[in-house]
Amino acid sequence: MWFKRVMGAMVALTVVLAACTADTGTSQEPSGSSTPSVAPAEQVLRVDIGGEPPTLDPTAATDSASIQVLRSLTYPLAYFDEDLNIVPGLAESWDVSEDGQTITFHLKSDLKYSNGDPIVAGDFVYSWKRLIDPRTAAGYSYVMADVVGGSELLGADPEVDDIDAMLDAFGVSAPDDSTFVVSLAHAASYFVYIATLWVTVPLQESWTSTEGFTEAENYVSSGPMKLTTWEHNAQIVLEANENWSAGPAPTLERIEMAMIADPAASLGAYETDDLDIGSVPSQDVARVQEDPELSQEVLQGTVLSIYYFGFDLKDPNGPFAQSLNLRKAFTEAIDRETMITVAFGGIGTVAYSLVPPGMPGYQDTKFWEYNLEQAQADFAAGLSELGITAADLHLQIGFNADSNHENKVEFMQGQWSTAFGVTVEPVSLEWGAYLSRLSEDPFDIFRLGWGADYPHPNNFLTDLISCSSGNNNGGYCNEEVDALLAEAAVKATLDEQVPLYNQAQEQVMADAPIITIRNGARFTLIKPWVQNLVPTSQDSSTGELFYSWITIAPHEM
Amino acid sequence: MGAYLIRRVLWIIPVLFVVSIITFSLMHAVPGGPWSKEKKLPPSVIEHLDQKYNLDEPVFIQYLNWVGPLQFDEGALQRDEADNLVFGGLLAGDLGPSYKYLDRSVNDIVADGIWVTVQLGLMSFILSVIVGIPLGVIAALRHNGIPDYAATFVSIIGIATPTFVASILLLVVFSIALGWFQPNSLDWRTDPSSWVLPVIALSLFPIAQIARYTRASMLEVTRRDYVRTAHSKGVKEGSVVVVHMIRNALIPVVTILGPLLAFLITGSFITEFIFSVPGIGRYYVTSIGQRDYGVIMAMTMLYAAAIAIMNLVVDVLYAYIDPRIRYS
Repeated sequence: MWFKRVMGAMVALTVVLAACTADTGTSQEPSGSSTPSVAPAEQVLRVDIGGEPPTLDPTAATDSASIQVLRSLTYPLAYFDEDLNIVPGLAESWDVSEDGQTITFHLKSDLKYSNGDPIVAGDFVYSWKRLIDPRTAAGYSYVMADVVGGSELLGADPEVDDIDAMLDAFGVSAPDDSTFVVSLAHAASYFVYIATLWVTVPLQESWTSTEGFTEAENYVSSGPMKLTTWEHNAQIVLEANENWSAGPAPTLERIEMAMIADPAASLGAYETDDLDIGSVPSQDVARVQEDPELSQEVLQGTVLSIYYFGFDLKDPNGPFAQSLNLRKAFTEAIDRETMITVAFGGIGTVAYSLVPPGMPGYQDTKFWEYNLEQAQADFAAGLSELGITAADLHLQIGFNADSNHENKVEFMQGQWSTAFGVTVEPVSLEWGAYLSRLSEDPFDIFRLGWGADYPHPNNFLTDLISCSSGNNNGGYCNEEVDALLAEAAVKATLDEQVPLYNQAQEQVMADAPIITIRNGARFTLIKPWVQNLVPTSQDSSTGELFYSWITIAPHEM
Repeated sequence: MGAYLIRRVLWIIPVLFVVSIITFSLMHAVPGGPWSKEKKLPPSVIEHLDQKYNLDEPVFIQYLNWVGPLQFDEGALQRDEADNLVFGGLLAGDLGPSYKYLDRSVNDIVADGIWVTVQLGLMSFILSVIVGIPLGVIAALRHNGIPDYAATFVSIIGIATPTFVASILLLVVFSIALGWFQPNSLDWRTDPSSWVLPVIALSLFPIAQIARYTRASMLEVTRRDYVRTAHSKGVKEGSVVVVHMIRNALIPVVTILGPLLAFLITGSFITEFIFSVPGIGRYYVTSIGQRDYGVIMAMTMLYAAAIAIMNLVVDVLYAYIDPRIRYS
């Protein structure tokens, strides 16, 4: 009887499910897989940007989705080659004055925007002033701090100061339509890297003052592609900009950018051939590696980023602020090789220093290798230095919730507990609350990451760990390091700078203010028909710097 | 009835007012702000941003700004002499700027997505009602029979399966494995197949809920005197079911249909997120993480207004379904 009832229920369920799906079966489009045909491929690249970009105003953009789109829509004075060397962009060449304080960019001739108007040096003057103008309140305005008048404008109050006068004194000028001159407050050798950023591209004042200027119908592009469709929350379509002449003409006719919020759905879209480049959520990495087909399409590589844990040095009475030995002990006790395998699915490499491999100034030195005995000795030394016992340590490790950090934190807790018998209490907070907690009163140990804005060690040392850096959440400050960084900044060539940056990094690592864990790695899926994709370690989305020059090989659909 | 209606409509205003005050203070009490990023903005930039978006004022003033002086401007972003943003405020129909989508006003964002969300919600609502109510009725009429067990089985599955599980399952089976539907539809306006999976995903729980309510309510009226009387008078079975039973059994069901409709037409975060629906439902969650204050307020007020209006509609409907209910 029971069996019959259950069977009845099962049959009914099947009928209901069939009824639900019956009407759907007819509306499907014939899937082409049954009729293979190899036609000359349309030169269309389909990628996912993961969501609606917050803005396509180059001055205002700060996030990866917006930048992914803007890299094709805009073009800066200087650009990168495949190995991230600086090459001419819209500028044909530039001269640096002897004192290093004046950079003169010479624009290429006959440059045009997508609307046919010429790109003139005055558009850079307008764009750069717009960026630093406190009334614009641009997130990346601080990259202009080295320009004459820049730091004053950063600190200005629009309700008190005469901003227009300050902008007039700002050190950018255009003596003629093809010459753009930047005056720096002090020599800054890395400044030409600033001229590769999406925030420093030329902008027409007549365009940005149009109502709704970032919408597709109004968009004026300086890059190899132009914006033809922006359906909010649905998709963005870029097409080749026929007016663009700053480099080889784009080989793609079109880039279709989907906005798939759910990473699993995005991978699904790749698997059903609706995307050409796919990203893999961490829980799917193992499945992809075992899949005979997908595993052939994996592209791995390095990314200029770092995953780290910082020590709280802001609180002068905190144990880590007081004892270098304790910081050393907690660093040496972590077996990072095993951690990468266990907690990161084996993707990525151990970061033994701040400046990641692939960036000038990388040092192939293993600062603080895993050494349990040394860690225990340092731990004992630290405790006796402070005159406390292990039981007196009440430590917290903070991380942001909902982003797969639990297993990393658990791993480290386990290592410390094995080495010292100390239980470090994990605390997780929602992202916004976590960040605000870090700037006010960081946890004893806290998790963070850092990615490169530009491939120069300045971005990983000065911008992250110098005394005055706002990103220096732990509050580490060593005057010697700062002096070395300042000295490096004024050297003219990379060859002269690197030894100074190396010295600075050695000093930082000796002070052990943070535990560097892992260098970023990419694990991307690329369809076999996508050719001439150029991934660089600077990309936050694989190949984004050179999308326009991808070609699509003929393939079955 | 007329006076009753007017009174009820007027009551919605203080309700929304209280909801807005509570939401506004709670969201400003949460640590962090729209400019918190992993790569921190320098303090001077944050100051400039706060100034531009009037976040440097006390929360109380910000609230008044949000409610708005009665100036009937266009909804677009406007600037004063110092280039700070000015907006008309709620009373002028202006929901202010978005703190995340910098080029856009909240009005734009809501206007873009709301019709997709409402359509999705209405379709799910209709599907839920036309499947859920008959399922409940049949289960009750064949109480303890096979149809009853089948219907109960279905509704327990519907209740017990979280929407995200159902959505992912539908996506994996019908989009990825069988390839019947695109996992990310790019054309919601012209391609009807885009809607199939999200509508089903969104309807599973309501179908189950409606079926359970209908069944319980039908079972209750089956034992009522007037049903027994109708049977003993020799009224035809079909007529007893339709006139005497279903009509009475639907009263409690209508009570849940109101809030359900309000919930469905204001959008579901999970369904819209997983199926990349270009609606407004996903903002319920994302706007909070981003501290996009304008969008948080807009979403909360929309949902509150929808609930208040639906509850009113339900009360009015009672009077039509059950003639014993009279309002004065």
